[in-house]
Amino acid sequence: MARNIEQGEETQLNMTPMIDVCFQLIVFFMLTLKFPSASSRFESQLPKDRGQASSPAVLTPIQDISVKLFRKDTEKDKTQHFTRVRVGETTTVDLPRGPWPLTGDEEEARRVAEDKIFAQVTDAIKAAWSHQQNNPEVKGEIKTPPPTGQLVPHGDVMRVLDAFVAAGISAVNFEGAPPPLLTKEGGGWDLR
Amino acid sequence: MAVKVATGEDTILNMTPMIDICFNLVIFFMLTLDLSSKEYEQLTLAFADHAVEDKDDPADPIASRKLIVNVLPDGNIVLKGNKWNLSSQDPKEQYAALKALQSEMALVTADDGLAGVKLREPDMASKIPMQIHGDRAANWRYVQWIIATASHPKIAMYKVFFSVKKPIVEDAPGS
Repeated sequence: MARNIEQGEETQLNMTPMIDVCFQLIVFFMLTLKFPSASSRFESQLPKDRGQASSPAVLTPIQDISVKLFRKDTEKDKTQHFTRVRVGETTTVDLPRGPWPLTGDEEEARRVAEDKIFAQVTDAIKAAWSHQQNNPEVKGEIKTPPPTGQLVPHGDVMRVLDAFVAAGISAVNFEGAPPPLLTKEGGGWDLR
Repeated sequence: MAVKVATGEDTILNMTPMIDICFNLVIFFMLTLDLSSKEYEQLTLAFADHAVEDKDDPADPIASRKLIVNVLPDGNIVLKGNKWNLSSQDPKEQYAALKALQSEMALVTADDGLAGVKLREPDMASKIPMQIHGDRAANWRYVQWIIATASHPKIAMYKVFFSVKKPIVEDAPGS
């Protein structure tokens, strides 16, 4: 049956539900909004010729610049733990004791204090590199020797990496530590 | 001078500009929505001044399929919403965590993961990167284990990103 549509009559759309939905969407997107510029990252490439099944090391006349990290006073209370950073065999600096404070002012004070310490690390790396005429083939090496080196916080290692990049060395190796249970003795790998 | 307001008259609001603005806002938020950030745990990242902006290249869709591994300060790792404990005193639990990580890595790097797209280089290195999103207080040993797992020749995830944050330094007054 055909419907009669009266001409000249204005049809009024009820906009309220649509506006409600729009507001809901806006609120959702606003709450999930994350500004990507607030975070950064280091991009690294692991050496393809090494990894867990390492090949014999090849001696080269170029001396890599090594930075070692140790966790000290680990037998004491957690507030007394600190990280010692040694650049080559010459420069040794100690980071502040205890965990990072989480409140704004204290955290900022800690960051400023560490900035000064890591400026020394950067200078020491620069000096070691200049001894090798700033050879671009020189690599950095971050070592965390056992037993306490592996207890170093991840953040301290990242700051050393940052110091290398600040000194102009972007090729940095990490001394690896295979997971204990995935070694041959620990059961090995059985992929797929 | 007093203004006369007629009583009983309906005031009609013109809703069109507000709806336009609403739609514009919805479109803006939709375009800037980054769903990958949902995989990041709320952690306190390490400070670093010389890192690059954490932004994927839209021209490289394979790189944006990165595997995000969250390393929590208590030694837990979080992979796609699942939590595993690396710091456990129970070796079985540690083993389960590493096996879960290994399986996830094998899954995302498998060449048949995306139809018609090669996810490995000719030398079998994975094109998919791994992003280690670690709390600054997390134990470095766990990060080493994750890197060692990724660098296993059968997985060959050699491209590794580390999440850090740039300190916000306020300008000195008058500068």
